[in-house]
Amino acid sequence: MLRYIFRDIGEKGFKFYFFLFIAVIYLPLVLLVVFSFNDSILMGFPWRGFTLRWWEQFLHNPTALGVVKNSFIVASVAAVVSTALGLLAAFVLVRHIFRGKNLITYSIMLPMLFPGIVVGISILIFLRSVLNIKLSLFTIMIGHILFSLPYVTLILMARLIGFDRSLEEAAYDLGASEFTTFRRITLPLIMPGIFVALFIAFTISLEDVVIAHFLAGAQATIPVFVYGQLRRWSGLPMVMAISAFMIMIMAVLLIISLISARRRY
Amino acid sequence: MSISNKILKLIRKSEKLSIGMQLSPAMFWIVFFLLIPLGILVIYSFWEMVGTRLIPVWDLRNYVDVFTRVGGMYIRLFVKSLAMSALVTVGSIALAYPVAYFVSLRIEKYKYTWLILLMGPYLVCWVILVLGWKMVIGYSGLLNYLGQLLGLISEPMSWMWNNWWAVVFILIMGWAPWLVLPMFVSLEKIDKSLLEAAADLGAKPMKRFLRITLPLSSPGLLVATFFVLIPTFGEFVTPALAGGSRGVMYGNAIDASFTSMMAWPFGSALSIFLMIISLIVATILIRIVGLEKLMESL
Amino acid sequence: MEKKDVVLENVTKKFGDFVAVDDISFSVKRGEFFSLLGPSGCGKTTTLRMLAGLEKPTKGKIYIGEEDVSEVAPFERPCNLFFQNVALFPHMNVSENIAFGLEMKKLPKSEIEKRVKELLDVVGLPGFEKRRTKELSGGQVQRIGIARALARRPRVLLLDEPLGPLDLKLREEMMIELKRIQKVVGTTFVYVTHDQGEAITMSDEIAAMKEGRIIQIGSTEELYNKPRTAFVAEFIGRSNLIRGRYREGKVNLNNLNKSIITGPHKVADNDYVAVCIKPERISIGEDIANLDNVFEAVIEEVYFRGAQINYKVLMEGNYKISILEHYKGKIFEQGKKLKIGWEKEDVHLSET
Repeated sequence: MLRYIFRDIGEKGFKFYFFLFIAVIYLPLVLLVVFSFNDSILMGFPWRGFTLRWWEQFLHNPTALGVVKNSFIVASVAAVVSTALGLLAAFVLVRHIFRGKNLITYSIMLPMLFPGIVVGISILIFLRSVLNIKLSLFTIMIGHILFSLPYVTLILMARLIGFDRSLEEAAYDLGASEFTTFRRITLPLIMPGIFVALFIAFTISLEDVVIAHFLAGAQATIPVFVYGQLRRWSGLPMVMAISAFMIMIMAVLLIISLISARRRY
Repeated sequence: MSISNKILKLIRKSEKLSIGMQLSPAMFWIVFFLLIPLGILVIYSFWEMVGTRLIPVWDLRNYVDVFTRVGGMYIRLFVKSLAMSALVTVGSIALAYPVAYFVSLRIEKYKYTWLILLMGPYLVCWVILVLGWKMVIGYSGLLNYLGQLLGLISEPMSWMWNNWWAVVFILIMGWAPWLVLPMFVSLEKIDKSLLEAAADLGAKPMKRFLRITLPLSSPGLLVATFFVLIPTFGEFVTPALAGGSRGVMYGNAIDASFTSMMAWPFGSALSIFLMIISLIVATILIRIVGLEKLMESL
Repeated sequence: MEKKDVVLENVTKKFGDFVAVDDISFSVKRGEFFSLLGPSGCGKTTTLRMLAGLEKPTKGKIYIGEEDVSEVAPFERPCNLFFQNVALFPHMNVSENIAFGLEMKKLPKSEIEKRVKELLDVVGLPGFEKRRTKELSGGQVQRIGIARALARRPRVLLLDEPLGPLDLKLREEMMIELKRIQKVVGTTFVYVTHDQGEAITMSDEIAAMKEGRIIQIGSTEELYNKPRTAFVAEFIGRSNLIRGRYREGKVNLNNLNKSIITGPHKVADNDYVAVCIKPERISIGEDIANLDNVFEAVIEEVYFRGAQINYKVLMEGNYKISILEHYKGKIFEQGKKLKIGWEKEDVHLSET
């Protein structure tokens, strides 16, 4: 009898822990969003009433809006380019056997094997002291494409490994040329993988502060801008509004992936 | 036959050419923006900087400096950062493992919905996450506010912020959501009938967990380790925002020598240490788990 | 002379040093159901893939119709392949799958729709156009696969173990169905299988393969009753084999100082041969002295299968013999000592 009671407590404890975990990891985000409407120039408790002041400041601040635009430009370009590079590489790495394949696979994985800071500073000194290129959004893109490449390639490789080659053979057999087979069979079937890759690369770029911190010039991305503000502890309430904005974007991304996952599973 | 088909046939004629063509964009990026820059980093670590000019002196002074400058502060910081990274790794895995276990073995419906929901906070950038945690454990955060409201404390607890403890705590809480997935993947692969077989053979729940579930989910643990350990080695954002003066990590020293101190050669030497240790750890972990496991976890 | 739809001349296929198909030649008559039968790894699938154009022969020539197709790409060959795993395109519905090959031919839309409808009628699934492939049962997937492969009206349909993934009952159903479809459309079928039951049920002609070579080609009855070698005998119909030396209408057994009366055969005296006797041709009982060959035996195992009983007996000389008998209300028990026997006409001699 006692054993069953203990087991019951154990089971309930598990469930309790699970929901507590979710609550705790979302707590800071919820607080940030809520307190971005707090009518106080001090960041934090207590609640002093509702205001849209900080959001207005943010939405009327050309610098802040520019930063948001920059972030989306960088993330979009980085996602598309790294997915394209990764797709080409993944096809070769999965479907061909050749000498030096392991070495090439390993080197494509390299950016994942270092902390972002090493990647960031090495590109920084290379661009500045060797190529003498000025830092700009373009240099951030370079870093983000590099950093997403291993993740994107791995995702696409996994998709291609699971791809049933006999579908392509069936298409050839039914009279489709190589190009038609790719367009009508291969591409539609790996499209979900490509979307996942784009999504991951986009998110990596949008949320990255480490690499962008070193490679950003006068034009910053959202995380770099927020980091700068926070280090000086200046313009805080508006920073909270920007952060809340980022969290809302995250929520949108999350809902998109939830919907597409529902469709798939 | 269309022109594109003709071109494709031509390309196909030489398999080597086509392999090369498809790999070259990615390899160009790797070589040009990673390998060459890393090479330059290595070179600069033997140079010196006067003002903003780099002078090729080719000596080991920067490496000696890592050990001796400010009474060996840097090397102590290095060791401390390793210890903090290890603590973060263990802590975040310990927090996330029961969650992964619960999702895999107790939840029947909408597993993937829960998983995506669990990953949510990781999609937010670190800077904002740190700011969020300040709202919880900071000076005017939720805990201090509630503590005072309920009369448990008379004034805000200052020990919760601006020290290495706050950094470790935030890193643990930040990484844990992301680690549920790799551990879930390997738990999910365990044949559930094994557990039933073990129960049938008389193993108690705890024994079953220790002898079957835990060993069989170890690939997930290793992938999770890989995910946390490497980036945490180089962490500088969280310590800069939540660590105060006593919570700084090795990454902050590197950051400072490149951004504020203009000490590139010394910073390069600092980075080389970080690079070598992450490369060793990463290579060992990947060797053990294999690329396939890493793929599954993404 | 009858029209040939498929001709292979001295075809060899090597993968590196491994010889998958070793100098084989055969031809298939128009409208015939032809099977390549053999254990896994015997080169039958490779042969089929060479016919489909998915592999190139290392040596030799392949003709489909009168055309030498050795250099023709898969998508230009007048034959279609039915895949082992069917390989229906998962992102298309049933009619899109069937129409795929027709679209590649650039047929007008109305013609495609008409043909899809016809084909669904042929395979017995009318009205399935808009179904998604995920909603189909195992047998339905197979039928749609066949419809898709037949859509381009190929001269030859190649089938690679199509019934492999099905369970027993469905497999038996599909065997009859396949044969029916083949009769309706009149297309030449080249069928690859390792299952002798499938081959025997459906084929007009069978080629038995082993280690990249063809051991015997002939009508189903020929292979069943007159296997050329012990391998074919064991593979088809599970013959009992007793090895010995032929001499003047008798075979002197290796293990036993007795002989089996076989009557005269076209075998040189003193040649080593395998005597093969089908399980259903052997009588079992206590009093069967009037047969040409009678031996002592002990029953080791008994399997009751309803209409039939399968006895595994140990004959004198330590030969394991399998016997199939119609059930007439009487079963001998395990361990019983009795006699088994057969007439000399029921014996066939094969190469060992």
